[in-house]
Amino acid sequence: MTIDPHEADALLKGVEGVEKRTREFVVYTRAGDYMILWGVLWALGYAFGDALSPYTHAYWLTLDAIGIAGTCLLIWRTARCIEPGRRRVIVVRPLIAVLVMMGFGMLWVWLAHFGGREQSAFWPTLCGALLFCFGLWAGRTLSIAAAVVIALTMAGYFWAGPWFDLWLAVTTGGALILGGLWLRR
Amino acid sequence: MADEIIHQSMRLKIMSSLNVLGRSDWLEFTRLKAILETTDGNLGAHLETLSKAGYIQIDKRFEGKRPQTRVRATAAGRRAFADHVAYLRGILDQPTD
Repeated sequence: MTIDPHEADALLKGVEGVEKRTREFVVYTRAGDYMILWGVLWALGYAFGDALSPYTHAYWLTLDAIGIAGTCLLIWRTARCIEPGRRRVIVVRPLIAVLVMMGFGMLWVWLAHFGGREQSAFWPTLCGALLFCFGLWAGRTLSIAAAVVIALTMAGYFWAGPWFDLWLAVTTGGALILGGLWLRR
Repeated sequence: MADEIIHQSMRLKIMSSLNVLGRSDWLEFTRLKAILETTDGNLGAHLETLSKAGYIQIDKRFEGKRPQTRVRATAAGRRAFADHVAYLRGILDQPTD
């Protein structure tokens, strides 16, 4: 069998295209799991947080603990089926990025003394910004989903009035859940 | 040296896709069909050929009441794919007259 350079080039380009699509599929499926998890927790947090006053803080801490435990479980599941040599790129670096983002967020919530409304808007926009940046490498659908989350959060901040937390529960939490389901479809 | 089984365009694409996944990861038939933008019949025929060569494993099972077919690359399949891609790259690297 003889293969000329043009045919070899076309075949290798085909291989690259399929590898890119498969990687996107894998990333979208995994990102979808995280989005559904945090979408449900955000929806629950924003929907009932205020109603549970004076236990709001403890309620959010509980939801965050569930979210972190669930995230660790998903990371462990991902790491288990990745070759050790690639874990640094696929698992460790994104994990460091998330930890840096959480640390940055906690630092500024502490330093800036945000009001309740600002704090409610801060976390979804910060997480949305991280997801947007992640999407620049992993696939533009993630960036689009992140832009939707940020836009909905800011729309609610300016126009939802006293219903802001409920707005976040339905739109931001809902957008994450629907986005996650859409990515996993 | 060229691998005549993998060299066929669709089979090369199938192996490219499965090779991206982890060694223990399966890919559903319907997902693979969407990634490769092909038909059930075409994909099924090429999967049979690759399976007979020992390059992939095909698993047919029920997820609830729904039948599900999933595939994954074997170690031999990954080796054959890597060798064939290296062969194709070698052709491109040859100096032209």
